[in-house]
Amino acid sequence: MKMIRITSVVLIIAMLLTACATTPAGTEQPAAEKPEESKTLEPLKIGLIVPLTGANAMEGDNNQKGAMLAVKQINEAGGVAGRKLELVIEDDANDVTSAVNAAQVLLDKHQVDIIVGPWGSSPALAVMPLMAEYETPMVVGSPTNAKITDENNGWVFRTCSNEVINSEFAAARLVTELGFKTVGFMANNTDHGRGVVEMWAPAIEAAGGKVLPAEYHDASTTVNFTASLSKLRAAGADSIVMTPSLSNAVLILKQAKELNWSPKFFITTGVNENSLNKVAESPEIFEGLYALGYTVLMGLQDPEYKDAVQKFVDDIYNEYGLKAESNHGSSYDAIYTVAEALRLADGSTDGNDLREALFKVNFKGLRGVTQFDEKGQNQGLKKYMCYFKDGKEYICDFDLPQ
Amino acid sequence: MTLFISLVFGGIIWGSAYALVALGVTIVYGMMRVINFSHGDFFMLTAYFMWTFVTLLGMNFFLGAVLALAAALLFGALVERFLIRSLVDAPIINSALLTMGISAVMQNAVILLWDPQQKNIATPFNPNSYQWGPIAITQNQMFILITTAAAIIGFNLILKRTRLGKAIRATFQDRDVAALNGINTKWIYSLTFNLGISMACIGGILLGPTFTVYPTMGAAATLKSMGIVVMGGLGNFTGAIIGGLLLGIVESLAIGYISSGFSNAICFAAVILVLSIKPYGILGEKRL
Repeated sequence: MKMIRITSVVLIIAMLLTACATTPAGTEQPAAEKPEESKTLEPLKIGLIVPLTGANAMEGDNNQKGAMLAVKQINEAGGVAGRKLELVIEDDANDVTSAVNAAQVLLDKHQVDIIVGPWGSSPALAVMPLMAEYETPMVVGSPTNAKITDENNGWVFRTCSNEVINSEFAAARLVTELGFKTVGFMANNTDHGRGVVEMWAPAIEAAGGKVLPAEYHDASTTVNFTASLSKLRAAGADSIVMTPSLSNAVLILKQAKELNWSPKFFITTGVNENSLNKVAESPEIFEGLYALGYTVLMGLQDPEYKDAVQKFVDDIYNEYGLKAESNHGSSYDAIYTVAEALRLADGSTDGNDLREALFKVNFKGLRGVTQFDEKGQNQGLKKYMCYFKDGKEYICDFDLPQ
Repeated sequence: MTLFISLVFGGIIWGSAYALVALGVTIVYGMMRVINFSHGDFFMLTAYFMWTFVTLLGMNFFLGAVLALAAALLFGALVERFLIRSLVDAPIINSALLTMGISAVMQNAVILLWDPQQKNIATPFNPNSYQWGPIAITQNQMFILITTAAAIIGFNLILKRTRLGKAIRATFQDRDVAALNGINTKWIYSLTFNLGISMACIGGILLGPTFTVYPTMGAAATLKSMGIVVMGGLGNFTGAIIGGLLLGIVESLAIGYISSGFSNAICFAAVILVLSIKPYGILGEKRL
């Protein structure tokens, strides 16, 4: 009997612990202060869906922090059109089912006026039909699968780039300028990874490159990439285009070195030295890596964006004691986009008004000019081809690698 | 042929680590009749302890490894004393459910105590590999192979050549008779459980620094371990080792010659194939 009692107590404690550990979901953040002066106007409720657990937890946590900072700054400046912003955060672990559940909780329980996120392409695609059903706009700042805006859902707005725009910008340059001749893909087995291969492979072939069959991986369970690397080497690859999470990208780079193989590597997602240094044992691991870069950090090297980006970098450091990363910036810009739409909608929180206002948004943020086309795709994003040397990221256009 | 040799060799390295972790599952089941679904979470917890000692506190890699192993085994002893021991003679489904619960608690506790972000442990080994024809091996991979072999041989010696091993075997053949002969059976239960999870903990020390450390890394290890022990024959030690190596090689060849996207499906198809020919596993026997 005594043992049964002890076991019961431990299990109850265990259940409580489990419950405590999932507090990020549904937590209303301190940044979402209640309006003091505007007693008549309710705050604009923004639901944020990010991965706070799983393989992309680091990216999601940065996304969350960027959004919280933007909300805090906007509220401290008095809000927009008499309203403050309130952030309600849900974790989707970058998983489709969890993302739909998160969106449902935000729409039904919290009755948010607009959603920012999800972070990943597959979760975003899964949540989109709900947004049309609830007639609530969704602003995504990270997922790049072309289908998200090509489906013309009418309620989805993407502040970041997509794989059509990215491949048009960079695929041919990989072949003609950087010497990617026989290219292997190492991609996530997700809508994002498959979307990259679908768009980039034909663009590389059109530029004269040869593309090998893609290697797909489950981002959350795969950590050993040596067999895929051996296969690509045997097939004659001289270069690899990667799409995975940062930690998996670092493992791929590390395991290629362990195989004594040094192909050229390119990663299609915007990375920077701060995030890579966090997950890599040493900068040598990502020496020579090419990457697509955005103004969020690379703007520090661009005279046009230098001052705005420096202020953002300082703000992130002052708020969290962290070095700014791309994912801080993507959600930060998405929240400012929402605030701009609220201003254009004269403070209306009605879904239709916010949607109409989003189509009219035209402002210069951290990632270039935000201006949506008829499908909700931002066409003003600024991009750079970047490379890493001695642990630091450079823009090829300004300082070509030797 | 070069690709084939390289893939088989890679499969043996990772298969040996799979075998080590799976051996722990089979020890606990074979001796105690407890199916431990939290086995992989001890693998994960040890890697977190190691990250704390080596990366966070800056300790020597090997000292950090020993301390991480000790801390994880201490936790394992508490789990056995207060949770697992109460399952002696209980139906297997009870142990399966309890250990699933322990697994969920451990994963969430790690998120609570550390954070969900992936972590990296630097090793003192030279990252460049030694190359012999198609075979490339790093110092870290040599460390994995040697430690795995030593752990498996060491366990077999303890079980078959020592008085302690005899006491363990006697306890699980007939607990009452063993107790009448002066064997402290409660202590033997605790020791056996810890011997089992120590295999997972050593796996955490070897693979945590090789890959990355994150809260759900144990779930994949548990799933593969279960496949391996069933394929090798539940409770059969040699079967777990053969199963681990076989799964490692099948996985590597599947990625190399078919597709990385289907590697998990092919691995578990191999398990199904083995079970359809040998329903009790490669070396398993029908229990009466």
